[in-house]
Amino acid sequence: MLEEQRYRFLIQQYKNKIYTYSMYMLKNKMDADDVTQEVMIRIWQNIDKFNLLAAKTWIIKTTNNLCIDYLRKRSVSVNRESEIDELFEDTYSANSNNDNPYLTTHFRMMASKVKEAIQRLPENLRSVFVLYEIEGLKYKEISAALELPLNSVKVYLLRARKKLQEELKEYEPQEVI
Amino acid sequence: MNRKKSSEITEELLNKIISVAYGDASLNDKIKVMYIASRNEEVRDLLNSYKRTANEVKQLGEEEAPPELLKKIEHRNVPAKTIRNKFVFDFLSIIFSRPIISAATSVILIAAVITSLIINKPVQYNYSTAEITVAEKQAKYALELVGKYFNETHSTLQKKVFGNAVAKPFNHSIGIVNNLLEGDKNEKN
Repeated sequence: MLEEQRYRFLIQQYKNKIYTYSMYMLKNKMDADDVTQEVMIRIWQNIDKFNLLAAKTWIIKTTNNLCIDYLRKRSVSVNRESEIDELFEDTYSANSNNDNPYLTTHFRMMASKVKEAIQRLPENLRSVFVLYEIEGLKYKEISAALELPLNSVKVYLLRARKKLQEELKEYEPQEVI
Repeated sequence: MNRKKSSEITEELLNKIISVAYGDASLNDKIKVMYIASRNEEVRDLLNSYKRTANEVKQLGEEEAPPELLKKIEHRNVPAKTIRNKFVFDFLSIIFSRPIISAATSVILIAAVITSLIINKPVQYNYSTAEITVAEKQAKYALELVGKYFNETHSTLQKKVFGNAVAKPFNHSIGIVNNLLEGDKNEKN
């Protein structure tokens, strides 16, 4: 009974983090679904082996390892990457103006471009960037989950931000209203 | 204001600009970059450009895991009969999954504990010597008053109550009895 409650609590807490990370890393909805499912099964199997406080690192580490496995497998198989617009649900909160179709379209387009740009980042930069900027993890947590030195995390994040800026450069001046 | 049109942006400054734009720079760096940006157009443009990107990134948010996937996994992992009993879990997850709610709960609990400790704490009086002397005097005066009334009551009881209300009628009644007995004696003789 207690195990089940712990499991539910963890799933409630981390389901979106697992899924988001998998989506950004694998760029493929089916694979992201598979990884999410696999992580959840592993959580259930190991539910009595870790405490709730250490669970976050364990879950992210497991998700990252599975994503790396999938990426390795994929590199030898057919490239199944599909277009970014088909992958992500429309989670972009176009809170600026929902009544203005032009603005809404603009925000959606920009969100799509940003997601694409994030996915074009190199794997090591992408993982740190997604965990820090989108999932809100702290440097220490990322360092523990990805087994990277703290300084490397900071450097990767900085590089990712610079690279992202370069990627988005072409959209900047023209798109601003 | 004498504004520079262009300047060389060092790697260190660029890193600080990026940190400021993404909102995780120290206050010192923030002030420094803002100051430079106010005087240097190139820095300002760069800062604004990074800020725009940071805003775009921050608005992305997490992806929602597909509910059908979760359902599938739940049925696979958790025994079906236990799925129904969710109230306690839902309640706990509301408290623990949202940092604001758990923080608020903790604050309320701590406040309640502190309040109860303050309320139940034994009162410690700290009086000055002058206050103690005055209090002693007042107590003495009060005791004197009580003593005086006791004395008055004692004398009233002795003189008025016992003397007039008890002793006199008693003597009178004894006298009557005595007369009656003496009268009876004379009749017999």
